[in-house]
Amino acid sequence: MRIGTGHALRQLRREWRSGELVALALSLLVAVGAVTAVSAHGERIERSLMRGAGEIIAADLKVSGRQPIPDNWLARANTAGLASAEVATFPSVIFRDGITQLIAVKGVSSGYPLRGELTIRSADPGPASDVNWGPTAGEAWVETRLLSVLGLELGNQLELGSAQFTVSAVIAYEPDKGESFVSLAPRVMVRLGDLKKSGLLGPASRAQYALLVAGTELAVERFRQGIAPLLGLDYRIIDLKEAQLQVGSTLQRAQNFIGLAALGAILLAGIAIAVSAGRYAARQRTNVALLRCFGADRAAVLGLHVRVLLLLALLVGSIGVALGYGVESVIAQIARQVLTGELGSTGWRSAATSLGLGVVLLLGFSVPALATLNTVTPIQVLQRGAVTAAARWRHLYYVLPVAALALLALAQSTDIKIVTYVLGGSIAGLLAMMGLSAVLLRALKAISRGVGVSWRFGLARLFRHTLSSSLQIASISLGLTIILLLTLVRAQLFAAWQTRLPANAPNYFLANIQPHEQAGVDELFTQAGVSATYVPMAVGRLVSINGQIPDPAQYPDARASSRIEGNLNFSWAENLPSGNSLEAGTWWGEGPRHGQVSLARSWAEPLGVHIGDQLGFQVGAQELQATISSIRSVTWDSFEPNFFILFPPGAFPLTPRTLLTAIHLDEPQEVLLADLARGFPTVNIIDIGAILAQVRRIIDIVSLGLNLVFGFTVAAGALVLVATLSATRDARVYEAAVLKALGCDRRRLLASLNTEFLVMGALAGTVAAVAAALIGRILATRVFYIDYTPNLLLLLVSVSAAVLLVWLASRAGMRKVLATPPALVLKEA
Amino acid sequence: MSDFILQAVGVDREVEGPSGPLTILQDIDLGIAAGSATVISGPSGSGKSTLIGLLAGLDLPTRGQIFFRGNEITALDEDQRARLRAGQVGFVFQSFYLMESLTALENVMLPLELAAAADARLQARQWLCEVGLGQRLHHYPRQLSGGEQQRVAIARGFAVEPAVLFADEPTGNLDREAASQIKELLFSLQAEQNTSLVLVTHDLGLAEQCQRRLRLENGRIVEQH
Ligand SMILES: Nc1ncnc2c1ncn2[C@@H]1O[C@H](COP(=O)(O)OP(=O)(O)OP(=O)(O)O)[C@@H](O)[C@H]1O
Ligand SMILES: [Mg+2]
Repeated sequence: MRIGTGHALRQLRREWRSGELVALALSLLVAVGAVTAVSAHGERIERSLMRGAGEIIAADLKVSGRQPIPDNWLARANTAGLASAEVATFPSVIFRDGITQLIAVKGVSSGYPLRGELTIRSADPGPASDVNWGPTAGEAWVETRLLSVLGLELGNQLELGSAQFTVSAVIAYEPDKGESFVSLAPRVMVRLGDLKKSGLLGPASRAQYALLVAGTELAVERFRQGIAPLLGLDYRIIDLKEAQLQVGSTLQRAQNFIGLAALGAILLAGIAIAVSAGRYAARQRTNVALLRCFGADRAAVLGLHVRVLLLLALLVGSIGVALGYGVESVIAQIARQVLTGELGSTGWRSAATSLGLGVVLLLGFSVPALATLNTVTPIQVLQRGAVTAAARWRHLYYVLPVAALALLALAQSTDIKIVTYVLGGSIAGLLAMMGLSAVLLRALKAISRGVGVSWRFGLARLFRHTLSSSLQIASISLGLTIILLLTLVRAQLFAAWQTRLPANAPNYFLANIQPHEQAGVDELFTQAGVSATYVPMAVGRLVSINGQIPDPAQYPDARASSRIEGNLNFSWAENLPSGNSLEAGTWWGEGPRHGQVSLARSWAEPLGVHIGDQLGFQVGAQELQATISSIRSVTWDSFEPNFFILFPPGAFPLTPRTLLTAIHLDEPQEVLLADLARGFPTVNIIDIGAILAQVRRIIDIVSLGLNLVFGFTVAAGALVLVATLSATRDARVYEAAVLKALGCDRRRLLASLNTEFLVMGALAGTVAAVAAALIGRILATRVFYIDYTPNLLLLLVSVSAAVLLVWLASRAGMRKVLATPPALVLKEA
Repeated sequence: MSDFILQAVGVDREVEGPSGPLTILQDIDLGIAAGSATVISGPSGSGKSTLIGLLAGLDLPTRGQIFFRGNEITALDEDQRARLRAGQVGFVFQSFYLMESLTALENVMLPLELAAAADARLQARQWLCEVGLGQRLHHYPRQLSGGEQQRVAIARGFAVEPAVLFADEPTGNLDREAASQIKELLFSLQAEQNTSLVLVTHDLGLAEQCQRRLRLENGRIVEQH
């Protein structure tokens, strides 16, 4: 027994014309629009950031590894129409006049840098110029501090291995200085071809090789896909997140926030869909009873309605996709005017997924309502009051919206933590809100005895069905909660968050300050009103893990090699530095602390080491065995000096240490840097202003993204309100007719209706404020790691907003209710 | 026995009332011959609608058996009964019960589609012409008068050429003029199609046109002709 799709189409057409599906369609439109807009926007931002990040790796894509880059990879890049360059870096040592100096050698081929520019000085001191080429054959470009350490001057000869170089320029800025931009051995940059001749690039050189490519987005992506299977364990592709840990972590957090916000709109739309579907199903009951009389079985009836909704989902979903792209492109236009730099383009990847998610959302949230149609018995056609069949496993249907939501959540945010919070929170939240509403209703019932007749009528409607009233109130509260979270709480959280990245966040790192220079450097800055704290640091190497000499080839994570083979910067700390939090183990206490080390999780992970493992470190001639006693998570986006590796004070007592500080200089104060360079030529000045500017740019883009989501959330919230109110409108219309027939005048009828809406709004507002405050706190402490104390303003805003919104939304149906002729009671029995 | 298209044997129907079970039909034994017209009358609340609901398989009795074309429908579950009804049973109700969202034509097509008729549209059109609504095919129920709506319902009821047509007070909501037109239509189609008609009515004129008459009081058959 089937009901033809032709019938489903006719049904859809007619239900559409009768306006029954409008609320359902609008909810779906908003949800699909939101999903599309957010994911299209995400795509655009991702692309734009990927391009902006190009400067950080001096290319669009970098393939890096411990072996020389195979020649055919270069050929591959060239045939793909990409510009390419090769780079090799390795630590080395220079001896000159009895001085030993650790250096970081970098060999570059012609074409380097492919993105960004080097800033060099051909005279020192002298004017700086930006160039998009590297040293020519026989030239060496070096950092200025190497000159002073070794007593060199521009034009002097420098010996590297068996090769001689002329020191011809000083490097002031190098775009791809490295993942950790505080790599502190001074740079010596030469031609890669010269290095190959020097014999320094042998198998024992511990060199890191990289292929840089740049070109059109499409060609780069093709190249990436082509090269990916060839990488093996020796090579890896470096993208934005690895290229820039700081930017990456900010972006990650921001994307989570947008995803979270989008989930709000989706959840609200889901509720509006569920409520509208409930009304749709209620109106279909007679029709279903008829169909059953004519011989349709339950599956056929359910199939018919699922098909009607599926058709609707495809139709409206397509419009939603178009709407999403439209809204997103408007936001992007605004963004173009606000932000400097290129904004990238959107892809069409989002369209298909958004449409699919729309179908999932609509079916997931409406099937529980549709399933109630299975309880309709055909006898209802003959006897209105006939009891409905008890639906077995009815509650199982509520798994569907949860599953749909989970799917949608995972599509929005890959952060399981956030997804769990939002999902668990919203389900538990809705139930808790219902509970709270029921309790408030009870309390109100107890204290409202003896109020006037209109009030009593109004309240009676709320009290009569505590369950459905509290569901209604909870739905409105949930909508309001999300809106509150996105406005008030978001503003408060953002304000708190931004104080962590204050306008006076450091924009310069000063490194390599000798201990005897500290007082002088400090004086220079304190006189100008710039304060700084100095952190000691030293450079060493990792030589053993649990007694074994580590072999980078043994580690699947290619990042392990830089930890095993590169120079490590470490520091000493008495107390856990700010911006760090303990993830495992204990911070050293008062007791014996010798032989302990604390690692940052992101540093420890690639090596697979844990609490209790033994690491051997070498600094100069000293070696130290240390047990990992704690693992920290480090907030890098504070731009305070932070170290992957921390020792208790007193470890390596003989090791020469230098000092590191981060300062914030306003534009006019930057002349201080000249004084600094003159007075303390060996101090290394690192400009992080450029990186900061990029972080700020990301925050700006993210804020725009949030506004985009916010619009959709407000629309979805309004739909929930309208849907809930219209779901009970039929009952209200009928009641009004009865009351009128019994002699109740318009004024008193209005008063009773207003009472109902006022109380409903006030309750919903209270519940929402409580919920928003709780969620805000959880988000603050668990996700954003900031302090947040909800205030009374929240309650005030929430209640007045709820009352106002409910009252406004009720106006739409009010006229119909008030205008109901009492004769209606005669028509419908 | 096999002459009967519909047969009820020892049927009782109880419902749960506020003060324990309430018997609304008791000891019903009856047979309905193929192609016959049967009228059920009785005071309001005597159980007429309940009875035809049971005969049509819309509901199940508490005790007893009901056979449709020799199949014991009381042994089938709800979906099986529904499938058995498709194309075999027609209905006409007091309050018409047309689907508000479908046109007259689409309303008539509906049971044809459910019975998987190949040319549902064509047949539906012919049936509407037959009941005199050839000009109103694409009108919605709201745009039709009560009498016209009931004629659509009759066309819908006969469209599948059912073995049995149940009509529960088909003229109850109509004025006398419209009622007599509906009456005529119902009986002429019944005769033409050789359908078994089971009719509930208070209308004595209508009752007299039937070969068989049953009278219910307090859930029992008190009179049979
Ligand atoms: N599901 C039910 N629960 C309780 N009582 C019921 C139920 N169905 C029917 N009844 C009762 O059974 C009796 C018979 O109902 P039924 O609808 O069959 O009467 P009727 O003869 O069709 O009356 P009318 O001429 O008014 O339509 C009535 O008293 C009714 O209240
Ligand atoms: Mg009746």
